Amino acid sequence: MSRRRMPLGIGRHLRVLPGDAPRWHEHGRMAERCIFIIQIYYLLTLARLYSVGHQYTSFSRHPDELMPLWPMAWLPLDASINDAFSGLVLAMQVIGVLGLFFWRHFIVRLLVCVAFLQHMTFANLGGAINHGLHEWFWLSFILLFLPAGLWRQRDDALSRHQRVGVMTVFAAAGGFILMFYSLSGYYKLRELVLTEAHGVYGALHWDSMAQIVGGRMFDTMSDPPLAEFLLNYPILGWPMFMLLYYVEVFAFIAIFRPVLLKPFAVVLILFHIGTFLFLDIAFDDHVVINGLFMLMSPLAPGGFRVMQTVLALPVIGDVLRVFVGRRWRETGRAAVPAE
Amino acid sequence: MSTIDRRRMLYLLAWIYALLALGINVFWQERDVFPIFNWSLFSVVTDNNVSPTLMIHRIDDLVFDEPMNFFDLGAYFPRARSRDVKVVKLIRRYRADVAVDPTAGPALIRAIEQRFLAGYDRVDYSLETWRYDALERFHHGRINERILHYTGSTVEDPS
Repeated sequence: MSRRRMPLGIGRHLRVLPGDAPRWHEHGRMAERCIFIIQIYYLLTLARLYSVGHQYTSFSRHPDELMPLWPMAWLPLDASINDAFSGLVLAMQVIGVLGLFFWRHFIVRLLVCVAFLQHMTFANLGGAINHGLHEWFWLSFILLFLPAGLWRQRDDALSRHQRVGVMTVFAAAGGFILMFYSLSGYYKLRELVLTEAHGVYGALHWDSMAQIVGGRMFDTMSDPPLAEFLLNYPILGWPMFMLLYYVEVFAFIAIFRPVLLKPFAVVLILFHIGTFLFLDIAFDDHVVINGLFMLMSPLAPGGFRVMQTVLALPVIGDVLRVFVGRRWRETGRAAVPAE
Repeated sequence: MSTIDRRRMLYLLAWIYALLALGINVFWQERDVFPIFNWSLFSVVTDNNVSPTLMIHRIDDLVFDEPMNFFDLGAYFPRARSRDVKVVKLIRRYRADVAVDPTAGPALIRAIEQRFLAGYDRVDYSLETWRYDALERFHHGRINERILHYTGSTVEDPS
């Protein structure tokens, strides 16, 4: 049976593995599942927009400390800011509810995207940016590209064009998340190469993770649950640190090799649990996002096959495939459901 | 929009984001162009860590013999209790911005005072940078260097 490959830019060079060929007969089920997950995303977006009111009241007492960002240029920076905030909080809650029920309409998704941008703006006032909400916002932006007319028919009666459109946007959402990790991995790798080139202390040193953990601990004088343990046994952190470098640098490849989506999601979720245990930084939103758009992704093949996953790993799998040769193709093809 | 157009559009968006994120890092020294985040997180690994530090010298009539780290005063400042890392980022930004443009200082000082030190008639404080090897500091309390950037008070005339 022919396995056509779509023109996907760099994707056509990376999508070379068994188990990720188009599964036409499954597209209906996959698109329905994508829609279900997008529905959960808008439910959780409502939960976030619903509770924004508490976060803004402290700003309104001190307009000087706002140091505004451009998306709030329309807000008055004087005493009337309190009224503006009150109105805005109400508007965000209304938009959140609209998003939950009517996200299939483009205009509602656009409203949610703008509302979340406002939310993210207020959460990042005061002259310093935290990145906790950025992923959530960019997902709302990517979802603007969902195909039109989703509201006209039931989810199990979408046209072929709509089904593929939904899956494309869903895959792009996961792809953006993975790209963010890869960008983070790029900076880490760049610093690693520079420090090694200059022969100075860097990430390859056996106690490097302990330095990161200790540095953060002393930044905020915090006491993360496992930080002291790691500072007493610094070498234990190094393998985890190197695994993180590997997964972050190559994260974006997982979108072209869906067999990696679930394993990478698990590692990235564990990484975020690690950031809490070692750094006292909680990324609950990122855990949820990785769970929804990667771990639960209908685009990933079902089940878990060790060999198939190992052979799909960037670099490691690419090298192994050279030696395993024809056998992996046969194993892989056997693993793909019959079309 | 056809499926291929949608796909191309999303690819283009990803490329634009990635190039902007990397460009910000190159041209604006890791400063963000909101809402694009450059995702440079814990990239620099060193045994000469740099911690921007807010030291408190006095809270109203309570004068400390030895200045206290802001984050050790959770009983006095809610944002110390919640370990709000923005104070660290603001001091880092103060250090970088004032080196380029000295007039950028007062706005950042106001932001630090109003956001982190509010609730008292008078708080005397200093902005510092501490350099240290994290393991040495953890095991032996050793600090390699303390650099003072600014000494101030939330009252206009502290004398």
